[in-house]
Amino acid sequence: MKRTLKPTFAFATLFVAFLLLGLASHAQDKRLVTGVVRDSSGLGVPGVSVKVKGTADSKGAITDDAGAFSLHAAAGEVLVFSSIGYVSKEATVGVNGAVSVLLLKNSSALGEVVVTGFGGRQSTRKLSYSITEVKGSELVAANNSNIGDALQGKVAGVTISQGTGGPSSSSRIQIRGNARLSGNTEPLVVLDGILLQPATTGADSWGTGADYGNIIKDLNPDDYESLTVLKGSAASALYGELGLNGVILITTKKGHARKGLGVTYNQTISNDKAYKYPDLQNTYGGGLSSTFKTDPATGDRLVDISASPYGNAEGNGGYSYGPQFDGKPVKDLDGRVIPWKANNPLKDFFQTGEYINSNVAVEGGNETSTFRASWTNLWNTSVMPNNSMNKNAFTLRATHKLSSILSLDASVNYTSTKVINPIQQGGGGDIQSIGGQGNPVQDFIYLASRGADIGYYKHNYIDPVNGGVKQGLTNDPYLLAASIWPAYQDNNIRNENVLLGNLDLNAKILPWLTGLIRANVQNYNDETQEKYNGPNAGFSGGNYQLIESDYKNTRFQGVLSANKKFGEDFDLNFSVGGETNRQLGGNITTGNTVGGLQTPSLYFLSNSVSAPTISQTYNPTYRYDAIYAYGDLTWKDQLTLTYSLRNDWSSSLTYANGHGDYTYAYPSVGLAWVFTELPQFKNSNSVLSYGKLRGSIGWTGYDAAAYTTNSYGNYGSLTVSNGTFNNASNANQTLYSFSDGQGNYNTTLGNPNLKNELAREVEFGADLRFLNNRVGLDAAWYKKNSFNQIISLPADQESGISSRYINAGNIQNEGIELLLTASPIKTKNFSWDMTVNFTRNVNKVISLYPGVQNYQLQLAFGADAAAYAVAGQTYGLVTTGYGYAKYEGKNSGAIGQKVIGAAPYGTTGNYYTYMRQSDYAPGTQDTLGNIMPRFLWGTFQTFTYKSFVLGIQVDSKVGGLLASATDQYGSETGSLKNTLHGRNTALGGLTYTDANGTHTDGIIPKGVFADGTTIGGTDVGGMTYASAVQQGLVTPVPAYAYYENLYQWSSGIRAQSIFDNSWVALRQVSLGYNLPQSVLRPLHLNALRFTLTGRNIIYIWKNARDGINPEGLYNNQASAFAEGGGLPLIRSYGATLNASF
Amino acid sequence: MVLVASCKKSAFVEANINPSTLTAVDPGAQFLFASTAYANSFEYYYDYYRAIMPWMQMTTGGAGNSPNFTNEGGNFNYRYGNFYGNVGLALADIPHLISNMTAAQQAQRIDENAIATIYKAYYAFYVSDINGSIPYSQAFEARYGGTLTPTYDTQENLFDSLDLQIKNAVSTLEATTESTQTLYSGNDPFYGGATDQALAWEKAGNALRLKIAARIIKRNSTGAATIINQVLGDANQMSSNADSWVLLVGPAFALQSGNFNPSTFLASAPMVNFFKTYSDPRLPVFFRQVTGGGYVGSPTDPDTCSDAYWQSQYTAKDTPISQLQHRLFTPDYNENDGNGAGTGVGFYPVLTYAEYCFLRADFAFQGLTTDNPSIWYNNGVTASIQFYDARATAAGIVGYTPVTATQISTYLAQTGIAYNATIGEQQIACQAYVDFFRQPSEAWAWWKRTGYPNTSTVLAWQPLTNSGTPLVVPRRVALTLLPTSDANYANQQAAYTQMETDPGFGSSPSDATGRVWWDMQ
Repeated sequence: MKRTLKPTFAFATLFVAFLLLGLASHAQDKRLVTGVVRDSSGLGVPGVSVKVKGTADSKGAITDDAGAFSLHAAAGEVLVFSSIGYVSKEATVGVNGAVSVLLLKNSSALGEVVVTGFGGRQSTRKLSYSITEVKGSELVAANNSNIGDALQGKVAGVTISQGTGGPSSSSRIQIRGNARLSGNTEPLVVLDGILLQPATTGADSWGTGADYGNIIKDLNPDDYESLTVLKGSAASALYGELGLNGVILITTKKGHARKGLGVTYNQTISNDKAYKYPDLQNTYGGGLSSTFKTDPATGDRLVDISASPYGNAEGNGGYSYGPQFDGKPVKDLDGRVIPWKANNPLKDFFQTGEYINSNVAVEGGNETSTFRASWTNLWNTSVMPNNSMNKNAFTLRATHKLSSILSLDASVNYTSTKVINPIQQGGGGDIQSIGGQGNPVQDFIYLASRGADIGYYKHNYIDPVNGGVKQGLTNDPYLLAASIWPAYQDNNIRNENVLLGNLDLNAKILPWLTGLIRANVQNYNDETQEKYNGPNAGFSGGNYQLIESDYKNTRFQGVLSANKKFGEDFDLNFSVGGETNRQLGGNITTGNTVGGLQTPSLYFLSNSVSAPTISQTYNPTYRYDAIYAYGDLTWKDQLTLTYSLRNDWSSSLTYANGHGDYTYAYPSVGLAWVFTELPQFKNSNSVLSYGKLRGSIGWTGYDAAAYTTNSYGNYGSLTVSNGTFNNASNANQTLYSFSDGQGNYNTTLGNPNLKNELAREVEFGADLRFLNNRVGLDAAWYKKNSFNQIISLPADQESGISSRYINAGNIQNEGIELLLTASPIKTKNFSWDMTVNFTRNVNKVISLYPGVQNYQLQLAFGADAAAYAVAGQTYGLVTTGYGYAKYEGKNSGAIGQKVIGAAPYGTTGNYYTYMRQSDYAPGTQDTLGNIMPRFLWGTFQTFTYKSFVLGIQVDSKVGGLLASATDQYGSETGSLKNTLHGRNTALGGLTYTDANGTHTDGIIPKGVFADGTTIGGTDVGGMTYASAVQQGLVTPVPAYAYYENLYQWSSGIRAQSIFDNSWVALRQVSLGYNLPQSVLRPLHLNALRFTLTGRNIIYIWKNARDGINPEGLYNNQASAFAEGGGLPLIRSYGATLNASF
Repeated sequence: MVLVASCKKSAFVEANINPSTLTAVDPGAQFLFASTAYANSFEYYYDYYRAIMPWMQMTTGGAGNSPNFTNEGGNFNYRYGNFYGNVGLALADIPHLISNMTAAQQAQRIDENAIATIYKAYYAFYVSDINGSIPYSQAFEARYGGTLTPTYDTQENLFDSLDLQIKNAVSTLEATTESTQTLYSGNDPFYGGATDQALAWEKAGNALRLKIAARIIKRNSTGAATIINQVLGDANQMSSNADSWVLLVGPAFALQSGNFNPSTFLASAPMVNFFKTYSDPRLPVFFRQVTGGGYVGSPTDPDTCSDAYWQSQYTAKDTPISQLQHRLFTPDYNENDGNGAGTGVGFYPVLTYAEYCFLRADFAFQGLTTDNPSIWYNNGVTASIQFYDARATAAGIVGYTPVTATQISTYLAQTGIAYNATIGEQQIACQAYVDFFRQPSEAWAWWKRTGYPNTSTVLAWQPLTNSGTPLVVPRRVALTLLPTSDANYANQQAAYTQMETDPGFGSSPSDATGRVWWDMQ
């Protein structure tokens, strides 16, 4: 279906409509004063109280989302602007009735507050742990539908890895390392009291996977007031187990009491450009010979068959060791005469992606009620053709004072998201499956040789005679049709609908006693369709799959809070409360056609050739309840003791027979000391203007995944993993055997005595401000240990189980976080503000389980390499049996050198190549290093000149291994630049003569022969390859065979493509301009701001091999360390308009 | 809040009940699962298509054989994991499922137990056949409180034990009155359709004992003869293709889009030449005609494959070399001939009547029985042709013409095919070899045992060389070592050390040219 309206047109129309509306509603106000309140970064500050000095409250106003306000005042009157967390400011009304105010953050921290705990605001002075707040406007400015990506580099202690599967793709958010061995260590996201647990998505090491993303993409940053990251256990313990990986607390915007309606309109249009592909060589085209054969009849120069995967005897891609590109005509393998030049996948295939985000919000209110309604439409395409995400998000938030005691705060968010064709991450390069899904980057780099005409096949992939995809050597010599077909003909479509509703009932029972009753619901459903057109003749052999999934969760919470002063010196906060969380479950129903579609291109289940299969599983039900008490006691406004105690009851630790330790309690306690309250710091000459020391310790419990205790070791249908058995009568028999209770064959043994996990975190920190708050330093040190993890520990298969559930382990994260803020220049018209953050986390595995040393985390290259948790070492050690073998034989002088020998399965041309460690010394592996970064840093520089604001963000990751399948595939057949060396004399190739003549493409592998190698009767064990060449026993290896043997599936050295991945990225540059009031007033606008933003602009420095995308992980699991193509490097440029009426 | 704390535990217990979990299944469910797991697509691709079939010169890769094709290079031996992870595991659960039933129900499940024993014994034999010592007597017990680190049974003890188990199972089946027994019926895709399911399994069990006996002839011909004569003394013997132990599957089981697809492999010259010489009726069943008609096989010798002529043939636009008959392996194969996807029946032989005949012919030739080898040879060839003829028709091979009785008799009458006692053993072995086209592992075992086919048999192999150096074909799995940190490392070491005491075992556990116990030099 085509969209009926082009968004740009639709929103331009809307914009005009709102302009007119603004004109109409404000036309009669003659002595109206309007203005905008901004912070130092030029962004509007909402919720600021504006009052006329010396008058009653009723003349006041509150700023809207854009920081705009309007009220009646006479020229010369003084307006007072105040807001919690900002230094109050006064301004005199000028003759033109316009006021523009810059509010500075209250860095003396006296009134600084942040959202924490169960969403309440808390003075930062009292916090005994580190948290970071990010303004909603800063997230929106990233022009990215994914708040995970938008957070990148902004918060010390938080590691973000971008998703690379297109706009829907989910990013990995790691707060203070991986506290658990589980694949999912995403933090809990709390949106106005609704608990959301992001899932992990993407591909695995074996093949492709479309990344539809997790629930984070269904949230709408335009509605965020602020986002707080709770990092330590003392901060997150209140949220119980879900907070164990940290918490992201999101507070959405509310309406404010004001005159008339406030309308804000935000429009962003941004373009995504693929600007960098892996480093291709653009000198040599397809083939193995440097010269062309010519057609004796026509004299045409002919492309050699070795340019095609069909011509590669080893079953790999087509070779790119052919004639040098000269731009002159050649006859290609498909018979077309084309110029002999290198392809350019960026130009030939990829496109410019669009990001068009339109948001309209209307707010209003009076003394008793407020509301805010918002609609956001996002239209987001990517550089990959036919990939898009379209999102509509509706939000309504309303407050109402029922009486002097009771008030209501209700919100409803509804989001409908449609994702089409997320990029297939990983995999690709599969010659076998014609029309099968593959990653485009890998396909172009591996299957096709450098001269293959990608641009032609992009538009000519369908067989014009027979229908279906072009097949075979003469129709599709480079398997480009097979690679491109899925992008257009295999459509993966998902519709998601998310409804989030929350109702808070607040009671002011007594001046010192308040109550909160909160009830919320989340209702989720999605529908995924795979509409695969038939790739065979007559478009036969298609496939249709329909998956529907839904679930519903509820949370009901009650809290009673007391605040009492005792004498002059003591201030006590004490809350007790409880909650029940219910996951009410839902269905996952999957229908599949079998054996193709009866009528091609019609997608419904009954169009199946054989009887369609239907399977059903459940989204699990789950319940956990808790009671808690928490609060703080402050002495003399300088020393604060914080405390909490929580007790959980979890359904997932119960067993069907009624037993199970399903309840557990855990406390936290902390101390914060503002030592600058001491008399000796009260001297106004003190360099130190504010100083706080803090320390805390907190525990967090964690239960099992729902159903774990009642699934494993039992039986169930295998409709998901094994499908059904299609018997000789062509009837489908459902299979039942050992099962995980979700339709998958699973031989894991359950454990009848599982207990809760427990994590403990100790944290110390300091918050120091110098030179009258011009410079600030916040430092934190933490150590977190997670015990008794519920993991499935692999067992020897001969015992009859694949693994067993146990409580085990002690995983430790220890680290420091630094945040430096400074305002080096502050003048009337110009200011320069900066922040620098630094994160170092060491993720260690203290112990696993008695007798168990290794726990496999994640694989790369199929199962050729893996990241492990190894007892006594750092989390994420990468090991492979396919590293270079190190000589340890009879020639003592050669010990430790690379070993050369015969690979057990297929070497190209039967040449000797580097041996793999596990072939040379069976059972041994190489440890290559660690997947976790050594440290991260980031900086923001903000320059404000009058109404212009320039912001620059640079962030950096240092250390951590990346495994690149693209690097292996691209190096295998000569596509990447690194394979240029040795191709001919000019490029360092050695001259040698063999039975077929003299060649100049010789390379001598650096290493010694394995003991036991005999060539022509000579024992060459321990001898270098170079010596063997000198003695005339062997020739140098031709370049094409050298590289293919070094990288190919059957003999390649995987360690070659596992490398340190560090980078410094110019993440974002934005330039904002606020139109002056003199311009706005005649237009009856309160505020108008233009921003130009460049995002992911360039890597200032990176060390990934061969230009591989350093941020291309193919899933967002905790221990992901591999890429499999992903997308090229992408940067975006866009413009944003924020208007307020 | 108080309300929360006082909530009953039962509400939590109820929330955690997985509605898809069963605490028990009918033994037939496990049997069906184990049966369907017999045909493993990864094993087909990696073990059969990519290794054993080229080694046995039945097929070659799409570009002929590479110089290193006789290396056993990993991704081999899928049967091992299939046994411990699927087949054996599910079958081992059946006695436990039955033991949890009431005494009366248990009395009705005696036959089911016996049938599971026979199939499990077959698969254990099949795994040990190329692995040597494997965990068996202590395997599969962790689920029931048993060991996590099972010791290994030597092949000698294992074969002995398996024979006894099968013998007892057959006796049990013969001793029960079928009307009192619950049988797998529809959950048995091997014999579920047989009129007398128990009888069918009695015959299969007896045939299986003969197959095991054949393996141990070199080690213990007396013992083998004892087993053979014991078996042949029993009344229940396979007597036609209807008795063949075969897994039959529907068209959606082995799809063209999956690993069973044989289209990237080529017919071998030794097979095609033999078929053409004798107008073997199985030629159009096994292989496809080349563009323009006729059959051409690929050379199997890497040195021949790499010459310019054959290289040009492999890369030619039209296919000048015969491919494998697609639908014999993947009946849904769409030949792009306008007929669309196929809807035929696929098959995976375990132990056919033809094999039974060739075993008896071989025993007779060796004087282990008093049978007439010529009769059993003729029975075997006839059964094999009729078997493949029926399977070809059922698989829906496009344009296939059924074989006539005259064709078979003409075929059998030719010199070279007609039984000739002076070359009887190689004739029996070569015909068994052809019959094992869909059980290449068994062809491999016969070759190890008899040395046939070879370069001078009636079906003549090509000598395999790489740059003139003869290549050595593997005889067993290149055994892998567990990491030293593995819980069962010591047991595996003990087993490997024991096997290494056999001089034929090879230079190391990973030496695939070495031999397991039965494959005595």
